[in-house]
Amino acid sequence: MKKQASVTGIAAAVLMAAGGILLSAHLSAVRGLPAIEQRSALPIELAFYLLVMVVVGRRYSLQGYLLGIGCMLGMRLLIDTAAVAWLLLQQHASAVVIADHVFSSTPVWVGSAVMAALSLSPLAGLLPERARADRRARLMAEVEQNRRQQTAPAASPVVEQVRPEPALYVPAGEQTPKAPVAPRHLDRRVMRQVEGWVEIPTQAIVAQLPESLLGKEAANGGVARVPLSVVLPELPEGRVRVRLTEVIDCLPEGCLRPDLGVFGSEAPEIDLPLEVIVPQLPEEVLEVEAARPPVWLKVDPELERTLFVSA
Amino acid sequence: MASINYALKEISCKIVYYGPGMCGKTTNLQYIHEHLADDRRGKMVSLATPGERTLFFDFLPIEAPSVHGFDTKFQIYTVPGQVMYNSTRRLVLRGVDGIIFVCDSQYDKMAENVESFRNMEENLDSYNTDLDTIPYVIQHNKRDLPNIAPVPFMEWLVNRRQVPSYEACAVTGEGVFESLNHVCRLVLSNLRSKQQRGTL
Repeated sequence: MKKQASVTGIAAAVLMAAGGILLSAHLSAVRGLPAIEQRSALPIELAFYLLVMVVVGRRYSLQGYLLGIGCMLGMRLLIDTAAVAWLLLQQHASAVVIADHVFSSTPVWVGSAVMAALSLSPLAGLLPERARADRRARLMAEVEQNRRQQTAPAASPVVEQVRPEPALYVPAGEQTPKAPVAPRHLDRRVMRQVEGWVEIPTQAIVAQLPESLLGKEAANGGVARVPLSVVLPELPEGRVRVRLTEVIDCLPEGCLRPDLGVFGSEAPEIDLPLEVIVPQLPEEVLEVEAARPPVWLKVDPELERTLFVSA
Repeated sequence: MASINYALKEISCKIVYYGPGMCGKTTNLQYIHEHLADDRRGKMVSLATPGERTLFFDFLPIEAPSVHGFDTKFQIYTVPGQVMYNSTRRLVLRGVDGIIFVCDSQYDKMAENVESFRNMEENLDSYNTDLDTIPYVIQHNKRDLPNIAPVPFMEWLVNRRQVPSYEACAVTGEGVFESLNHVCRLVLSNLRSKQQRGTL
C-alpha cells in the first residue's frame, strides 16, 4: 500500500510539474505576456505549486508535499537543460542568450494554472492516497483496538477449552509445529460419566518413578485404585498418561517417601498400562454413539460381489 | 481422483493403505501381489529400507473384473508410516478415492493408531476433503499376536463413524482381500452415485 501510494504520488507530482513547466516554456515565445525575472521564477513556481496542493484539499502528508516539490524542481531542471541543449544544437543563438531568454521570460502563472487544472481534473485520482487525516484516523483506530485487546478478559467461562495435543506428526523440515487441531472424529465423542475405578498393580506405577521418590513399601506390590474420572479423559488418546499428583492418593501407604514436598507442574508423568485398564472398563464406556453414517456407506446392490479373489 | 475413460470403457481409481509405522501396510500389498492372478496384477513397486520400513511408498496396479461393462483398474498405494514422512503421506493422499486404515492391534500401538488417524484427517483436510466423503474401511491387523487390544476398544478409538471393519492378519492373508474388496465396492458405488448426481 505504501509503495502504491508513493508511486501515485510521484506520478501526480511529475504530471503537475511537467505540465506547468512545459507549457510555460512554450508560451514564453508568445509576445505580450508579462515576463517574470529569472531569479523570481523558481520561488513563484514553488509557491503556486504549494498553493495548489493546499487548495486541492489538505489531503497530502508532509511526505507528499516534499515529494511533489522534489519532483517539480527535478523536472524544471531537466526540461530547462534539455531546451538549452536543443537550441544549442540548432545553433540559433549563443548559450548565454538562450538560457537568459528561457529563464527570464517564462510566464510562470500559466504553468501554475496548468498545475491547478491538472490537480482538479480527473487526474486528481492519482494524488497520494495516504492522506494525513486518514492516517491519523487509522492510527487512532489501531491504538483503540490495541487498548481493547489488552483490557479484554483472559477467557470466557462459557468457551470450551481445548486441551493442546502433542504434534507427533511434523512435516520434515518444518521447524514450528502447527497449532493443534481438534480431531474431527473426536468432536462427536461423548465421554460418558461413569463412576468407579480400575485397579492397577502398584509395580506398574512405581517402576516408572525415580528411586529418589520411592518409599520403603514400594517393592511390596499391591494395587492402586485409580478413579475412572482420571482414566477416561485420557483414554481417547490411545494411552493413559497422568501426572503422579493425580494418582498419588491411590497408591498404598509407604510406596512413596513420606517427606515428599508438593509437586507442581514438574510432577513426573506416568503411563498407566492399557492392557490392565481396558479389561476392567464397564461396557457402557466403550459403547459407540450412533453417528450419522456417511453417505458413501450404501453399496450399489449390483456391486455386492467379490471383485478380487486369492488365486 | 477417479478417472473414467468412456472411449476405452475404463475406470481407474486410487486406493491408499494408511496407518502407523510397522502396522502391516506393505505386508497387505505384498500378500495381494503374491496371491492375485497374474492377469489381474501389475508390477509392484516398493522402495524400502533394509529394516523393512517403507521409504517413499509402495505401488501396485490391479485390475478388477468388468463392472457395468467398464474395465476397472485400481492403483493401490501405501504411505510411509514413520512420523517424519508426513509430506509424502500427504502427497500420496492426493486424489485418493478410497482408504484402508490399517491399525496395529497391540496395546502399546494404540496411541500411534489414534495419532495416525488424526494425521490422516488433517492431511485430507489440506485437500479440502474429509472422511465423510471418501469411502474407507478399518483393518485391525496383527490379530495373531499376543497382548492385543479387544476389537470393541479399537473400534471405540478409531471407528466412531462405524464404517466396515475387519480383523486381519496380513502375514497369513486373513482379512486382506475382504478389506480390499469392501473398499473397492464402496469406491465404485460412490463413483456411480457421484456420476448420477453429476458431481463427478
